Amino acid sequence: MDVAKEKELREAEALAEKGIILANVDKLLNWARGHSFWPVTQGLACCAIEMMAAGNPRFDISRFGWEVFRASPRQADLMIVAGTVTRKIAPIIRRVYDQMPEPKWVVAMGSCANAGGPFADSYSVLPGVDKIIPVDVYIPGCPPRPESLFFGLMQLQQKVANPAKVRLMKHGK
Amino acid sequence: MTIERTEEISLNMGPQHPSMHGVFRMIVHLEGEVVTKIEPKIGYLHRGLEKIAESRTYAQFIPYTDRLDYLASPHNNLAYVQTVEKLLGIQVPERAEYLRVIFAELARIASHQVMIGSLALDMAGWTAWGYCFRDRERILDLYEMTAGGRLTVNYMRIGGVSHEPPPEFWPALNSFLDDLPAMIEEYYGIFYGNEIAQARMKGIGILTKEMAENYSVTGCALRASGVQYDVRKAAPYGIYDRFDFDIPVLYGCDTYDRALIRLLEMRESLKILRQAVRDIPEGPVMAKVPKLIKPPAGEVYHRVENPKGELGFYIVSDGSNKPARVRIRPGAFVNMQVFPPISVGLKIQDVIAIFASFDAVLGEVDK
Amino acid sequence: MENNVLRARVDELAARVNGQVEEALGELVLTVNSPYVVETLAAAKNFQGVPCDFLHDLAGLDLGDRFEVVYQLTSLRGPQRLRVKARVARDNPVIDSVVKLWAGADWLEREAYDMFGIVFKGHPNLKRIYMWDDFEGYPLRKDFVPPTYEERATMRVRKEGE
Repeated sequence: MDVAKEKELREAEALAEKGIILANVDKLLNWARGHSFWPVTQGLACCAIEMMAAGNPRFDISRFGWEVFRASPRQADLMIVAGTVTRKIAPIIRRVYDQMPEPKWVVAMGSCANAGGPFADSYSVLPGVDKIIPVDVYIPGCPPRPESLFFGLMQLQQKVANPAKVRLMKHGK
Repeated sequence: MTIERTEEISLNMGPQHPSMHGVFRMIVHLEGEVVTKIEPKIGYLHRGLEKIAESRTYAQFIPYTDRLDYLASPHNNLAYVQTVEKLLGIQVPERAEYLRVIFAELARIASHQVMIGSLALDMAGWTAWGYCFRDRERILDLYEMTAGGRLTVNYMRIGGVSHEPPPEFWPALNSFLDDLPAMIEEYYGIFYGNEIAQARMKGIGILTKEMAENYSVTGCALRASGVQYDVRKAAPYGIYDRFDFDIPVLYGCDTYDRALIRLLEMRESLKILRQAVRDIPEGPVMAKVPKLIKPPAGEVYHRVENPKGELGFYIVSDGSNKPARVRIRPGAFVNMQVFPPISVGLKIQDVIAIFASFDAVLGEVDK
Repeated sequence: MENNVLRARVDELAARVNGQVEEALGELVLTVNSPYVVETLAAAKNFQGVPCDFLHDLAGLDLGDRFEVVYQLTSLRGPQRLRVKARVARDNPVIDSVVKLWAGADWLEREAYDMFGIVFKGHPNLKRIYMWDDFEGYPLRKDFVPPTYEERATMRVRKEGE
């Protein structure tokens, strides 16, 4: 950690002991967004089982605040594409993505969603979900362990908290 | 107020929905809340595995079979490698056969746990889901210890298994087997004994024996309709003829029986596992197999009793190192054909329960 | 032994329908031409003593110069097994459907149609099952030209009412 940031953190800690937190509204909103993603259930294949395992008592996605898996995309802000995206389901995934309100993020979980995976040369598989929707974080693995999923989502938290450093893509571009 | 007219609605239960079985889509035609017709639409996870098999060698295709029924992946490996071994005429060493049986029966228990958990979850019984998945983690630890993967294990090879399990495997397996009877009792208490679950499952989705045979239903759904048929007893593969176990049969033909029979099967798997752990001999775990696997031209059909149904592999070889045709007969695909006829006349929430009781995994259905 | 009984029945059936019997790795294979397929399967379903009355699998096969439809028959009442292969011409692949004999052949025939283009006469609902409705080509044929990377990476246009 660099010196300026450490000084900043020490000052914040000193104030926090008195019960005061100083922040600007943007920082507060980004902190809140990052710590309470509401994923939409886009579990397609085997990676979905690891996503479900992440929600279970052993790995417990709830301690991060992300356990509210909403079925309806209108109520969600994160889409975890877990599994192989076939050409048949591609327009439906695009439609579900379009139905999510801003701000929204996409995480591609597993090698099939990253780039087609072991099925990349198949006639019916889309080689990676980033061909149809903009992806923020790619999580490798086949299937990735639940801890990998958490690491990927924590990286997304960092991305959400620092929008100046990582310019988020605007919708449609 | 008099009713002017009623109209039938078609509800699209689309490929993205929370009923936990993957990308299954059905168009349900409803008269109020009563179902008049169901049109299933599948193929949203069709990855073209049969075509991929024609451009991979025999050994390279083994990891792809993991992804068929991803909840019981060692079992799919077993089906494929046994088919190729039949074609090549290879004799697998004893220790490898016992290890295969251990992994296959562990896969059966894990898969049934997921089925019970998902069925409970579809009826909003979150408790049973949490318990089933928590207990399943112990089986996944055993897989991870041996094969390096939690879900898709890729442990079996043509001619045996890949390598010897580590020494920590056996005490962990024995402690899991000691705890399994208590787990089964717990599932019964949380889920099957529950009044609401019984009311939602008993008498729903009757599948008669004649209809099951006509629609080529196999697996647990067939045994819950009164037919005592299990490939492990009728046409034993590997060394299953050495084990002493029963085949549970129930005669209720409804959703409750299809769910209960899986619990009874877990008990039988426990018996097989105990016998396998007791009788396993020392020895090599892999036969002497040529480096380049080139089976003679011919064809073979082999089937195993997958937790979801009967998985069949039909391989046609033309003498080269890549198969000419690999046909995968998925148990869940054929079982799902009977799901629309038996759901007619029931309410829409019953349709969810019936579908969950058939335990279809879309990876297997869609290949 | 029932194996001899089954062999006798299959030989007798083969003589009636101009089929060829051979044995492949311990299993009897009966090859017939496509016009005889319903008669063959109905007879096999009602074999005296060793009925092969459970349709286990129905698959298409592309042998270069012709197609074949392969039926795997087993039984819930005994160990009898039989594989029936029906030759189908490649340039006009039409064969009778066996949905009247076994309702479980429904989706299996749709799959063979989707993957090979074999038309099953008499099938109630012969539509594509795995690929989308306006997909062109039959993927498991040996002369299927796979789509290029650009084609696969483009999102398809969904038909209204799909």
